[in-house]
Amino acid sequence: MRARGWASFLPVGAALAGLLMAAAWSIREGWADYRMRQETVSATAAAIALTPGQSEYYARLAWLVSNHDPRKAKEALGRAVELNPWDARSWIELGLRAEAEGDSARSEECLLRAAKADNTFLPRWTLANYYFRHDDLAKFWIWAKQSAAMVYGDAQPLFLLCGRVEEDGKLIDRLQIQAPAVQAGYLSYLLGRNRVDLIGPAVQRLVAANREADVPLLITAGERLLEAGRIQEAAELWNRQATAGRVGFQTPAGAGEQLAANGDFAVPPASRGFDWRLPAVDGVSVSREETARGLRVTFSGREPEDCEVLAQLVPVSEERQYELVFHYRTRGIATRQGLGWRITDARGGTPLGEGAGVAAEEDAEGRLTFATPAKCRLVRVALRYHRSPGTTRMEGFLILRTVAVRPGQLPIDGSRVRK
Amino acid sequence: MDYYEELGIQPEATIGEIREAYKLAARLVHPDTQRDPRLKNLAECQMKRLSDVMAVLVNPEERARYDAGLARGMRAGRQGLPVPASGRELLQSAMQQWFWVLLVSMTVGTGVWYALAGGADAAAGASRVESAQVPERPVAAQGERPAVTKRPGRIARTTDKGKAEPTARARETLAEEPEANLRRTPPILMTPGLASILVRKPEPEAAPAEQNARPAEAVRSGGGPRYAGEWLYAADAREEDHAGAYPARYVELRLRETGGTLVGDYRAVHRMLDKAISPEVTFRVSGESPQGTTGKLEWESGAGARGELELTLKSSDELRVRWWTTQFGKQEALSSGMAVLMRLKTR
Repeated sequence: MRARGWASFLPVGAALAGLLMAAAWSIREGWADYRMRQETVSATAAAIALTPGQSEYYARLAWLVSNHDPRKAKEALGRAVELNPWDARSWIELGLRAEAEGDSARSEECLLRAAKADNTFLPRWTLANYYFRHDDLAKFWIWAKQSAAMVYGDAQPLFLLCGRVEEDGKLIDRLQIQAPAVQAGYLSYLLGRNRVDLIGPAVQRLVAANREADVPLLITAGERLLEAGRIQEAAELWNRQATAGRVGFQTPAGAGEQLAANGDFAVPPASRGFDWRLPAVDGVSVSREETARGLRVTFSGREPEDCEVLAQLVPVSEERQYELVFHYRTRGIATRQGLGWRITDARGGTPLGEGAGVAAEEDAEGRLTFATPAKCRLVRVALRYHRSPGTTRMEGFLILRTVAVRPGQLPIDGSRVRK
Repeated sequence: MDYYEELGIQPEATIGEIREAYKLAARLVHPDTQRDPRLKNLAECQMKRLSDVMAVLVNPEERARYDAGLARGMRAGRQGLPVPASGRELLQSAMQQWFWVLLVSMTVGTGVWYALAGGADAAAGASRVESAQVPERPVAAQGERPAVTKRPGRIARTTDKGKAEPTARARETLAEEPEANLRRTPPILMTPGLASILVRKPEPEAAPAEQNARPAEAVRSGGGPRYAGEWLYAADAREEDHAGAYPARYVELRLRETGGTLVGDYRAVHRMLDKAISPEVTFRVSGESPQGTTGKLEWESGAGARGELELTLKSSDELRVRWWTTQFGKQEALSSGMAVLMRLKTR
């Protein structure tokens, strides 16, 4: 009877004993972890003594003694990977130590073990670097490709290293980069290194992908093409984005009867690419007309004496005559107060045409003819204000209804404005 | 008040004395002596209580158990309170309250572990162990290690102040150097695996300086160490765990020696996810060619920043580089960093 009574306590006793053991185990593990975190050799050694099966502690010990005793560090790393063959970081450390000692075979073996144990970026990137250092380009490309598949964040290091082997702008295809952010990163990298000559394949890939997130980058690429004088490519890039619905209008790209883009201001100016650019000028505000299409430029009387309020890059043909035609009206602006159009060669800034006196209290049409010299494929059409001597600063507004650049009908006879 | 006090006798009273005291008390609290019904009910309860007391005290076994419990209660400062009289009763009680026992044990155990593991760091520790599989987190500068020399800015970091500063982690590490710790290590329990690693006599603290004076054979090529050449990034996987700093992901250092002067170009790209500054570091280095395995050069960036760069040739193929800013330039940029570099073999 009594024995039976004690037997009934056995489960509780066992449970309590188990709990006590678990508590003791927890305390031991916690204390070892605490010691390891002190990041000193002695504390880490004590942590290892408490829990000798923890590979991480050996790896930490190796880290602590690596500067002073490489041999100890190597042994600790060896023990770490012995305890945990999936510890990729210790394999990497071992591989790099072997490389530093000139043991290429062991180094390669360790780094390959790391890549096998850990399917993330770092082991692959380490191997790509290893093969690059050892001039084994066939294997380099294999691991560079694998790195590209795993890369996160900024992929510029990968592009830099690959670029040292071959910089031809075709890395997206060569590395079979699928991640949109990495594809975009490659285009950014090329632009950052001023390799506009190589951006073609990357631009094509991004345009084909038609992602909204890439639009600002593609517009930047287009602007860089414009700066480089590759106007047709820039125009083509712009128009492909327009076709995809990413920008609001096509650019005539120098062909047709109206060469200025967004000439009726149907789309709010984006200040980029082939669209109207609206520089931020103190004392000048620009807004779209709500009722009738047009752009209102308001001068507060506190604007600078010389400023540009509106501009557009317009592709043209060389050695041809053109006419700028614009419809507008003003309020509070006198004829000779200094507001007018100025047309310059986009490369070099040579003035091609200039006309002052944009002022009309009723709706009016203005014209300005200009001719492009040889090799001029892009002009800058700008509305600027330059205070005329003897006048006060303007206080009023201008409403531009339309602006057009047309192939000229008249022979070249200088610039003039007709109302 | 214990049973003896209730009866007004001493704990060592005989059975006779107990019976006598009981009779006396019974006369006092017997219900028949009361006419008021409320007092009668109360007297019945008191009489029942008195009978229970009597039943314990006249039974030698029960009395002994009661006395033992009374003694434990006195030791605990809880005189007069009923105390479980045996281990069996304790177990019975524990079994009846098994849920609470389990809950309290688990809570206490977890609390102790959490406190010893360093609070919130315990969770970080877990994530660090797993981080080989999940590397997506802020990490430290590549190549950051506890070192002998006290240098500012041991981890790549940014600052908008006029002076380069070491990070908190760097300061902690500076305060306690690994070799110094090795020397004052208290005796510890050695496991076989640990003993093979730690039992060797610690190196003297001046080991790097000694190396400096006597370049290792591996580093020699001709008359002195070969710094000239092209050095490239090598991963330092341990640095991936450090929060708040920016590990290098690409480094190239081209050094050439002309007439006792070492000149070259340094370029690095750091992983930087939380700062809107350029992850790229480029500068030009120059200085007297070091004769030993360590040396120092000066650098200047295109943005006008200046600083120093320390070279440590660990072997003919491994170079450790540590750089820091002494004068900031026009742009906000990383102010210090370090890297483990390997020599480019042939190209």
